Amino acid sequence: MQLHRSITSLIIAVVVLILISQSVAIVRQGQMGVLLNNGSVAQTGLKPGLHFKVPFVGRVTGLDDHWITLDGQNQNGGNIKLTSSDGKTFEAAYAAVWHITDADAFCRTTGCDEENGARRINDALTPLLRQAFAAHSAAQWLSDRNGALPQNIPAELNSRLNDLGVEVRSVQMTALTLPPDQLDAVYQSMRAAQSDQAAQIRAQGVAKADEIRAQADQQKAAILAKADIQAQQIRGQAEAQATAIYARAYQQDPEFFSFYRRLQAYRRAIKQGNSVIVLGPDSGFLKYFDGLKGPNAPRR
Amino acid sequence: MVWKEPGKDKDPWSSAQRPPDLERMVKSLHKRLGWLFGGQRSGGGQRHFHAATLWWLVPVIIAAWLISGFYKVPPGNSGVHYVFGRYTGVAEPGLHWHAPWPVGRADIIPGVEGRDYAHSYNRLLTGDGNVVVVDALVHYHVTDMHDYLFHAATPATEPQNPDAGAKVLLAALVDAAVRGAVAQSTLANLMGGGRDAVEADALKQLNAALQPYDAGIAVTRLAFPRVSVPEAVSSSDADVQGAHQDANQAEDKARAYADNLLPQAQAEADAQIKEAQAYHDTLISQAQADTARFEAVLTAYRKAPALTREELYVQTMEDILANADKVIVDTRNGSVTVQLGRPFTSAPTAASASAKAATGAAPPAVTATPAPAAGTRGGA
Repeated sequence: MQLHRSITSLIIAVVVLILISQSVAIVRQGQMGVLLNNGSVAQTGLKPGLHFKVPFVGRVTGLDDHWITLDGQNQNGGNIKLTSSDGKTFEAAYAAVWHITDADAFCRTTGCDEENGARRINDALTPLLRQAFAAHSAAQWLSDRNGALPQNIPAELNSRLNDLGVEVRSVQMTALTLPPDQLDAVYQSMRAAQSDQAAQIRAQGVAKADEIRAQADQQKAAILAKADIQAQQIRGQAEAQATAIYARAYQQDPEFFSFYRRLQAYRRAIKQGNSVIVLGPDSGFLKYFDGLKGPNAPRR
Repeated sequence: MVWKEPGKDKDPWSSAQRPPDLERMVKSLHKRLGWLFGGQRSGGGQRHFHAATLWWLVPVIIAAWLISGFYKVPPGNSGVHYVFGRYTGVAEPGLHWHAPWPVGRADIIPGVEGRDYAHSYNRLLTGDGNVVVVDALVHYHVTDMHDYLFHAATPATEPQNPDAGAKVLLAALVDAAVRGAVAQSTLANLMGGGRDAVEADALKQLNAALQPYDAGIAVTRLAFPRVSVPEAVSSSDADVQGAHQDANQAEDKARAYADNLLPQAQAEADAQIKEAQAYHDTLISQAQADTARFEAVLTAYRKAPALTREELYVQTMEDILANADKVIVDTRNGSVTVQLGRPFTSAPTAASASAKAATGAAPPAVTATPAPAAGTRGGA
C-alpha cells in the first residue's frame, strides 16, 4: 500500500515537474520573447525574465532585441562581383546592420526565423548594390567615391522590406578589390613604378655625391689659392726687406759694397760642384806665379 | 467476481496475492538500499519503507543547490548575473553568489579593461591605383557592460559568448573604416610619413559608424603596425630599399672624401706658408749676416783700403781655386799647359805632360784666351 502510494506520488511528482517546466519560459536578456500558441503568434515583446504559458501548446521563442550584423560574405559564400558603369569588375564584401522593429510582422513573414529574415534582407540588398555600383565608373569608385556606398541604400532597402518588420540602419563596403587577373596588371605597373623610383633614387644619390665632391674640391682650391697668395706676399716681403738691408749697407760705400758682394758671389757660385777655371798669364792672381821659373825670376 | 466472494473481503491485489516478481524486486531494492533507510523494519517490514528516513537527505540537497550559486570573478574580468534570464547587474572581481540554476546564472566576461582587435587586410586598393597589405590594430575598452553585451546581437555561431555580437559589429565597422581610409590615401603616404593621418582618418570613420549603435565601447586607438606591398611586388620594393642604401653609401663616400680632403688641403696650405716663412727668415737672416759681415769688413777697409782690397781678393781666389779644376795657360811662349789638381773627367789621357800647343794641337775643350788686363778691380 505504502509502496503503491510512493510510486504514485513519484509519478505524480515527475508529471508535475514536467508540467511546471512546460508552463514557464525564460526570455534571455538581449532578446524579446514571442509567445506562439500552436505555431501562431499570440504575444510579442516579452521582456527578459520568467514568463508563463500553456504547457505543450505554447512555445516561447526569442528574437534578437538589438542590432544584428549581416555579413555579406557569410550570406553569399564569399565576395560578390560588382561591375562599374565602364564594365570593370570588382570583388566586394559588405556588412549591413539591422534590427527587428515589428516582431509580429517578422514572425508572420519569416516564421520567427532570423536566418530566414537575414537571407531575405540580403536578397533585397544585392540587386541594390549592383545597381548602385553600375551607376559610376571604376575610376570614380576608386578616387571620388573611395568605395563608399550611396547614403540612400538603407532607406531604399527598408522601403522594399516593408512587410518584414525590420529596419536596416547602415550598409557598408567592407572590402573592395580587383579580381585576380586584373590585379596582375596593377602589380605590373607597381613594379615598373618602383623600378623607376629605384633608378631615380640611385641617380639622385650619385648627383648628390658628385656635388659634395665638387664642393670639397672647390674649397680645397680656395684654401690653396689663399695660401699661395699669402706665401707670395711673405716671400715678396722677405725679398723687399732683404734688399732694403743690403741697400742700407750698400749706401755706406757703394763701390766697396759692389766689390765685396761680387767676391762673395764668386765664392758661393763657383765653390759648388766641379768648376773648371782657366787662368791666363795676365791674371791678377797669378801676378807672382811664373810657372816653374821660381820666385826670383824677373818680374813682369 | 472472485474477489467479492462473501467471506473474502480481500483485494486479490493485497499483499498475499501480489504478483511475485514485483515483490522480489521491491525486496531486493529494499535490501540494497537498506543502509539508506536506516534499517527500521518491522517484522514484515520489507514490504514498505519509511519515506520519513529520506528527509535528512533533503537539507543536504538544498544546501548543495544553494552552494552552487557561488562563483568567483577573477581579477581583470567582470561578472554578469541574471535572474530568470534577465540581466541584474555587474559583479566586480571577487567572490559572489547568484541564485542557483534554474533561477539565476552568471557569466564571466574577460578583459574588459582593454582589448585589442587585430586584423590583416590583403589587397586593399589605394587612391592612386596601387594595392597594399595592411595590418591593423584596434584598441578599445568597455564603457557600459549592459550595452556592450546586449546592444549587438550574439551571432548564432557563438551562443556561449554574450559579447560576441559586439565583436562582430566592431569587426565589420573596422573593415569598412580601414578600407575607406586607405582608399582615400596613396601608397607613398601609407608607407611613409602620411600613415598617422590615415590612421586618424580611419579612427574617425570608425567612431562615426559606431555612434548610432550605443555599443558600450570606446575605441581609443587604431594603428597600422605594418604596411607593405603585396608579395608579387616585394622584389621591386626590395630594389627601392636597395636603391636608398646605394644612394646613402654614395653620399657617405663623398662625404668621407670631403672630410679627408679639407684637412689635407689645409695642411698643404700651412706647409706652403711655412715654406714661405722659412724662405723669408732665411733670406733676411742671410741678408743681415751678410750685411753685418760687410760692415765689419768695411770698418777695416776704411782704415786701410788698398790693403784690405788686396787681401780680400787673394782670400777669395784661394778659396775658389782650392775646390776647382784649374788650367793655367801661358801664351807668351807658345802654350804651356800645366794641370793642377784633378784631371778632366772627359780627357782620355790622364796627366799629360807639356805639349807644344800649336794652333792645331790644342788640348780638347781648352782654348786659351788672354786674361784681361788687371785693373784696379781684381779680375781673374
